[in-house]
Amino acid sequence: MTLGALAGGAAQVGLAAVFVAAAPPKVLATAELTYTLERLGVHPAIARAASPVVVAAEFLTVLGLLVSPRAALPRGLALVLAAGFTAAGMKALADRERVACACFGAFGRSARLGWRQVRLFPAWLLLVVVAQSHPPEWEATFGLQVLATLALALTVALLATGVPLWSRMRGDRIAIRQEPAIEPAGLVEAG
Amino acid sequence: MTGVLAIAVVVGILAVVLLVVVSALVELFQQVQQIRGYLDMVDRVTPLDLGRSKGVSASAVGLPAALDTADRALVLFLSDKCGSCRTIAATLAGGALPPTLTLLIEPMGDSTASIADEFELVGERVLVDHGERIATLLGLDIFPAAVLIERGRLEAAQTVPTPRQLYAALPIVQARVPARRQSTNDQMTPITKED
Repeated sequence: MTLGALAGGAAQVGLAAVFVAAAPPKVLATAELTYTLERLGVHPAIARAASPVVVAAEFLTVLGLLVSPRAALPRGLALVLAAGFTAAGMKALADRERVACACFGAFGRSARLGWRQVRLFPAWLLLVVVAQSHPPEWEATFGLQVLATLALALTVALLATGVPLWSRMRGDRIAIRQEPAIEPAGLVEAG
Repeated sequence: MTGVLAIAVVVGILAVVLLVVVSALVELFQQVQQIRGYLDMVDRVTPLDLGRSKGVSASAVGLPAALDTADRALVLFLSDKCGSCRTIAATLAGGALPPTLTLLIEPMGDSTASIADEFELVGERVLVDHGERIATLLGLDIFPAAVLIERGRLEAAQTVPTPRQLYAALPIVQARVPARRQSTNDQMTPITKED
């Protein structure tokens, strides 16, 4: 395997990894994506219709990049989506608005649209150009294995943040549960 | 080959579904945490400033002189009018206090330590801070609160929002296990349960 082929494969997997991290968490957060689009000035009806389309496009990009690695279309779709994210960041900057970004669902709740999207566009472009210049030639089976590996790795990463959160909340729940056993002080009759 | 591809498809789909489900779960946790934070229902302690009292001996601020020789101890301040104080008092009701805990009741207004009577808080380590003299000296104006004593000196203070945080703050006393069987002549008092 040549260095170019290795770089092309790595760039393709890198692109896919970003969309694997972005698409599944957004499946249950389309309302947030709709809100983000509305804040960017998109008509509410169009924003509602566009949210699932964006998520579906991200899923299609992942599948295309990994299952059909030689095809140029998934890389083109990745570039279009990246351009869309950058445009959203620029719009938020131009409007001087603090727009919450549902970019990665549970992975990045506090993220906001802005310079980050603009700065990342060259990186997107570089990955697409490298992958396009040396398109990977793996089989669909291997691509699906990569997909499963990426998804499981991200699941483990999510659990690493979710388990401590669950542990804290369980402690709070135990503490709160003890409260109803006591009559609130305000209800105790004086004298 | 078709079989391998079918298995890869199933595994890929299951892995993505698992990621979606775990994402939803974490999202749910974050939302519950956000709601609890908004409703002030998070069980979290707040450090309190002891000011000039930090580092002084326990008896210097009016606490029992026995605490001056304590390696580690906790003094819990309970007001007889706050809801959280009553919750904590209820967990201590009727039984012996943990060995490292001293309880200070802050009677509000004209009341005379009613929380101690109501929850049967009795013993040598249950005291009443008349006129909030000690609490005022320490600058404590929020209850329930606790002051940690280390080697007889006031080390730190914090709020105690729940019984869970009280037990978390309590210094642990290592049980002293005799290295060998003691003879009956030793001055040891067996622990007996009183009826």
